[in-house]
Amino acid sequence: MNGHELSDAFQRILPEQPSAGGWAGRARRRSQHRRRMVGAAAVAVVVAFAIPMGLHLGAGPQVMTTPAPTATPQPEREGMPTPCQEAADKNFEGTDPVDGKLPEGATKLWLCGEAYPRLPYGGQLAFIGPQEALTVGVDEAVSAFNDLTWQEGAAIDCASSGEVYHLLVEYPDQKTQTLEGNFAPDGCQHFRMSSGIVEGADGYVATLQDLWEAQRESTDPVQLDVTMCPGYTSLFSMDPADLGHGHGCVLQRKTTAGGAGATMRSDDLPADLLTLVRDKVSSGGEPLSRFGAFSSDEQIVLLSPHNDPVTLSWGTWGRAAGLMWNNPERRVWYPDAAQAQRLDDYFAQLRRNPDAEPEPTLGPEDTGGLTPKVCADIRDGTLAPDQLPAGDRLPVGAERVWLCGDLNARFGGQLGLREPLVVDPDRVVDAINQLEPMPAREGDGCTEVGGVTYHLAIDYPDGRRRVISAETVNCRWVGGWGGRVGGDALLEAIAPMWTEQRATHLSSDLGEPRLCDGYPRSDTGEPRYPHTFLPVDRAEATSGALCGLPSDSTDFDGDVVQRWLPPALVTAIAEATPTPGAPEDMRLTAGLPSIVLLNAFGDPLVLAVGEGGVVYLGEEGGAWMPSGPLADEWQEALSGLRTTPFYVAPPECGGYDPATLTGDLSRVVGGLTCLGQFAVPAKGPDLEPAFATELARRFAAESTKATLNGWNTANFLVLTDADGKSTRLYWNGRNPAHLVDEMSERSWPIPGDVQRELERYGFDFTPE
Amino acid sequence: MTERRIEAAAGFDEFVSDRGGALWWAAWLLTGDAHHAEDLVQTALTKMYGRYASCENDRHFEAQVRTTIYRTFVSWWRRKAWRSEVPTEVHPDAIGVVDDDPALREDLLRALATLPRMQRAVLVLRYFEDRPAQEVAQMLGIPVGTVTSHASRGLKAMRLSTHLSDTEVDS
Repeated sequence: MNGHELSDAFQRILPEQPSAGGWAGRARRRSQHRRRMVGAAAVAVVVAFAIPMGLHLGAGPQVMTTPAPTATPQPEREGMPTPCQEAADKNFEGTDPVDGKLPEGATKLWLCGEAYPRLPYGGQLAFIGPQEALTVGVDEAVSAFNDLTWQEGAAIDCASSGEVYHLLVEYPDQKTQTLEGNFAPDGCQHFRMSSGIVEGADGYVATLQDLWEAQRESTDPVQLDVTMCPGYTSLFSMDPADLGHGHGCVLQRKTTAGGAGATMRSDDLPADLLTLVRDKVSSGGEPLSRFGAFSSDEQIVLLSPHNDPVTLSWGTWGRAAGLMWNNPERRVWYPDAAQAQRLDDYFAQLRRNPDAEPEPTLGPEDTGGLTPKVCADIRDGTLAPDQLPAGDRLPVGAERVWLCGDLNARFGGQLGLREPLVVDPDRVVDAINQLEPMPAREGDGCTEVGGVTYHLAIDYPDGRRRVISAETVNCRWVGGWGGRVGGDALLEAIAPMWTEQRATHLSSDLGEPRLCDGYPRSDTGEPRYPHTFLPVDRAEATSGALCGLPSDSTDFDGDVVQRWLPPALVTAIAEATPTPGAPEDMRLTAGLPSIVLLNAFGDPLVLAVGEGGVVYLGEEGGAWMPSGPLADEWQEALSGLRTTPFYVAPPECGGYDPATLTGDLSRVVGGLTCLGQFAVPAKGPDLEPAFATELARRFAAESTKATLNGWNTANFLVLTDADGKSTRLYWNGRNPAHLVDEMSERSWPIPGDVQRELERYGFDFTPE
Repeated sequence: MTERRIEAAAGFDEFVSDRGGALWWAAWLLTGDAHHAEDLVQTALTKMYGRYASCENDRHFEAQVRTTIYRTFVSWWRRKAWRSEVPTEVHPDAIGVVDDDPALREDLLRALATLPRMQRAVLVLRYFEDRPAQEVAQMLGIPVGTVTSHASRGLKAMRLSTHLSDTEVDS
């Protein structure tokens, strides 16, 4: 596929554009919410978000400065009434009322907080309405709203931002009107709509509270089936005397693969603490600036009989440790030493939950390296793969599944995953059993080389083990010839199971495995280092080692030295961006060191080191050189290792400098060949002048502009014109063979007569 | 102050209505999924909303939004569990299809999904948006040579992709 074909393919597959209705409004609201969060709590937000948090448990880390609504209810909304959750899932989208006025006849009204996924420390940032809908006095609520002032076409610019809440107004015809209100202070409370605003909403929520309280005089409280942890704070202004029960809540942070996660733990509040805290809230505490941190990992959630909450956060607010709450405004109580100790002890006890199970860790059977024993046994033939005829099914009830790489390094690597799948491993069994049988191919054979092969070792509780091999290319067989087909799809389906498992299961300690030896060397004897056929993100590297030959080595036969890199260097390499001026294209690296990075689960990523210690940053491109103190550490790590390549191209075939390649093909008088392998050219025979001249003429006349998709840098011609200037024509590295000129971006399919002549000079057009 | 805000708000709304779909196409090719694409566009619009009023015109603003889409995709998406997903088939009843070539669509999206994010971004910018290498380099904040390298490697990977090996891609 070339660029033109890809362009065409892109155009052909485009679906219809979706309607962008609602996008502008949503972006506006999210932008304003984001500005409120950033502007009002800059310091605390920076601190709180320094560690990526897996707030959606199992969903991986997120950068919470840009909250993203999702399409399904989230566990963090526990305690939020279901209609509010469902509306929040849709980001409270709805149609604005005509002329800013609600129709009469509403039968029910819900008061809800905000839409976005709740932060783990709720508190005053996360507001909530009552647990029950307003069904008595709804017409009064509608009238009170319609008495407010509608300003069509207006926008508002409040001096300070406020909290957002929502109203869901339900009608007999199942339709619901959704409104977005804003608690902006300083007389700026309003309702925002796409076509204008409703002003003067100061006191509207207080009006609603009066209506709810009137209703509650004749209704029983709604029971809460869940413990509100992390806590919310009611949109109503609460009387502390009503807050009759409560619980403590702590956020337990943990780090798993892919980022950090959290669990919330709660317990009833002891009577003495309940009394103490209620008294202090009743006394009013001290005012606290509305700017600053929102909450903490340790909370006390007080609840009214109707489960309206006020959440108090235990932390350092201003001058000392205190309990902070935000109802109706931000206040703090600073305990004395004994009271503070009481609170510390309570939360410490809450964190020490004796029923907590130890963090699950996964690790391979002991091998002293990155390869589980079962995978090593498969690799060295101790364990042979099973034949799984299409008519046979693997039994369910698996205990764990290992995913092993193949020894053949040419097509993707040697390693699979270090830990087994223990979370619902029967999913792998089912996936295999559901594959289609391999079609009968009489007289048609598939070679077993050309792509990634992998092996699944399935362990059962009774000690049985089944080893099923699969390939991702060619016939894509699974379970041997005559078995099933779909090895590529199978790998795509099961690899994410390990990713999911890693969100909740930690890896065992990697130790310091051997990384630099024990892996098959290249055809030229060059050391090769562990690879895995699954993608590894450089940014997730947690450790790494340098693998290199001693500086006095003259060939590849010596032992490779392994040096573990200091953590600061590992971090720097993981986070590195290309250094301006560093060579962008990988130069010859034969004989030079490599870096093997490992993530928390022992997945390796190999980076090449170039001359002088430049680090090539892999698939993402670019090269990096450490600076400052890191440069010294890096040079120390490299000391005693070879940092110049074994192979140096001869002057005629090396020293690539585009500025010198300014030859005129119409005036070529001679040339030479550069021939080699693995990007290492050696000078070959000189070209007969007449042949060089004719070849240049035909190239200029018959070549066409093309998108060049790479070329073989060890096999090319250097044509020299009458002024001594050069042009390089590279073999494109594959067949049908082309000669390409990088500078002019032209390509020429080599005619048969020319190709035969070039072969006479020593060209071998067999792809590497 | 109030009047200026109204103009900016209305202009932004109109821009999103006119150009949101085109932005979504690029996001869809990057992410391979309709919902993820919408989320990516929304993220970029959210980030850029405050700058609308200060842009000279919609074309200028769109250039900034597009840059944000690509940079967000390259840097943010790596942290998402979505990178472990493969694109789902686009069902005709979910999104209307203009040119019904579902086999090519699925194969091409699957092939794209195997590429590193930066390579994918470069291919979409070069061969869908037809932008020159220099412009791609500016948008992604990488050297021009790196753009060329990514384009070359990306095309090679697409050419060798098993997802496209049986698919005819005619010029």
